[in-house]
Amino acid sequence: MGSGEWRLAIQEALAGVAEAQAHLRTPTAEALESTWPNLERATGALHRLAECLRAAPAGGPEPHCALESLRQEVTRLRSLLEGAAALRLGWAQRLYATACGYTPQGQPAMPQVARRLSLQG
Amino acid sequence: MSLFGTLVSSAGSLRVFEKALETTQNNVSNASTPNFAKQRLLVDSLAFEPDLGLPGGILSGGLDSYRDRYSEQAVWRRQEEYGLSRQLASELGRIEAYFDVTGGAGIPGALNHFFQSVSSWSVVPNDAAARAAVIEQAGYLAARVRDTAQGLAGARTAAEQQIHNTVDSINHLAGIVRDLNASLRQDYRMAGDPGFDARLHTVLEQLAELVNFTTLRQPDGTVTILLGGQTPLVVGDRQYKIAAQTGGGAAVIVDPQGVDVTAQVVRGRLGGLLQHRNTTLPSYLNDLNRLAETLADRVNAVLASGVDLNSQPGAALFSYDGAAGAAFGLRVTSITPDQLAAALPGAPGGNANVLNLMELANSAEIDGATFMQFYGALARNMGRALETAREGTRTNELLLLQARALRDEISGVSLDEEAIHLIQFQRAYQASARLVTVLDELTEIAINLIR
Repeated sequence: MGSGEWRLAIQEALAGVAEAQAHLRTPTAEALESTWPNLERATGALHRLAECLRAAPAGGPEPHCALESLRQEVTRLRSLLEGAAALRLGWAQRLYATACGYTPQGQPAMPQVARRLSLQG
Repeated sequence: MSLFGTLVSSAGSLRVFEKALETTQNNVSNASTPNFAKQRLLVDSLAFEPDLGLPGGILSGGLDSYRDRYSEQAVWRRQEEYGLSRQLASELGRIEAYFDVTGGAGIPGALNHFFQSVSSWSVVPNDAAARAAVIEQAGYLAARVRDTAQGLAGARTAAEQQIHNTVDSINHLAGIVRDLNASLRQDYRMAGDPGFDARLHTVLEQLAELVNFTTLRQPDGTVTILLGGQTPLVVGDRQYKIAAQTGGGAAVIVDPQGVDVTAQVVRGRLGGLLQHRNTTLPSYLNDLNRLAETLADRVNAVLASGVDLNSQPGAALFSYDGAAGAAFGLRVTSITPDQLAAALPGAPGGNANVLNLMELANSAEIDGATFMQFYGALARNMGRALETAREGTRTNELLLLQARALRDEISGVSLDEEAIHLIQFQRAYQASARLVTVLDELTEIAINLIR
């Protein structure tokens, strides 16, 4: 595998992750959806990288360092994703508690959705 | 409905719209004010019963703040985490230079040079220059160990000074909250003042970078601040100042009664400083002292088992003061080149004892590792801790931005949203104004008709 190929693949993956991170600075559903193309791009680049590496393994510290950097960025991306989810969940729980009170166990009560059964003969 | 009733209703609506416009304009004006939370005018409808003379219309229901407690606390928690990792990265960065891992400088370089000089001495055990070189390199090694220990001690002193400064800053910010509480008690209307509210929350956000705390909003609108959720810092218009004590073995934070509350400080910059001062630095210094003590004891023991050029028992090469910490007082004794014991008692003039001394370079002498390996592990631990703190800082900074984004979404001022509100209110205002103008003209006509 030429050094140019793996470098390009890792750079593309890093770029996808960085863009996803930028989206996740805003913890909204829209922001999360916006990360999907970036994450698909990063995943595709890593797939290509894996295929290339299987065909012709690359050695030395340089690809290792580059992948280590990518790993750190992915870890940070996961932190951001979990952070966004935690914020949203907390906010939703607060809204539920405000709207529906608490369960006997002290958890915010979930809103009850009215159900209707309709029979046709 | 009478013409007069319609006029009264329209004029009332107009006043409410004017107030709503003022509120919206105030929101827009303060869009860039730190910690400003937008307000909205609550509008109540009035009864519309023309037969009973109730003309309908709207009534101002007071101002409501969009500030949300959950999102504020989420920002504070992440600010605390950010403050902690940032401070740790900063403190570890200060001592990074003392832990050279290249082997060419600092303690590893000095260890290499010392054992190289011993190796050279083993070739010519009775050579005065080779003996002098060993003593010289031992002195260099001792000096590097002392430099590192003093560097760590300097970092400890700097951390203690910063702990005092940070505690002063915490007390200063708590004092501002106390003053805000006092002014709130003097004038309850301040509670509805968005500028007052923004000031309070700016101070609380600054405080969150310094230390972890919780707040309680009292029925009178004042804010109670509890350090670590337990120790009062501010209750109403009273402040409880904390203090730092750094004279003893560990830095301690005490409340006004002198009770140790250090364990409650777990985040924020103060949390980072305490962790660095009380846990990280003592651990590194302890390892360095053990390295210095073991090295000196083992070298001296080997030399003591041999004989010098005058067939006298070998003299000690290193000395240290165990009470002060071996690394701080590691020195070369007043040994002369002749007194270095190169030979074993059974074979005077030989190099058997120098070879034993050389063995120390490669044998497991401390915690199952060579001196170099032990030092390497110490330096790697420091490097890992620094990298973890730096990574944590970068991640926590992003997480803080995320929490602020949520807060802005919930309680901040969106210029787009405010612009829409402004247009809505302007349209409503213009419609009402037109109606009032028409009514005014009609009134004039009616009055003229009566005349």
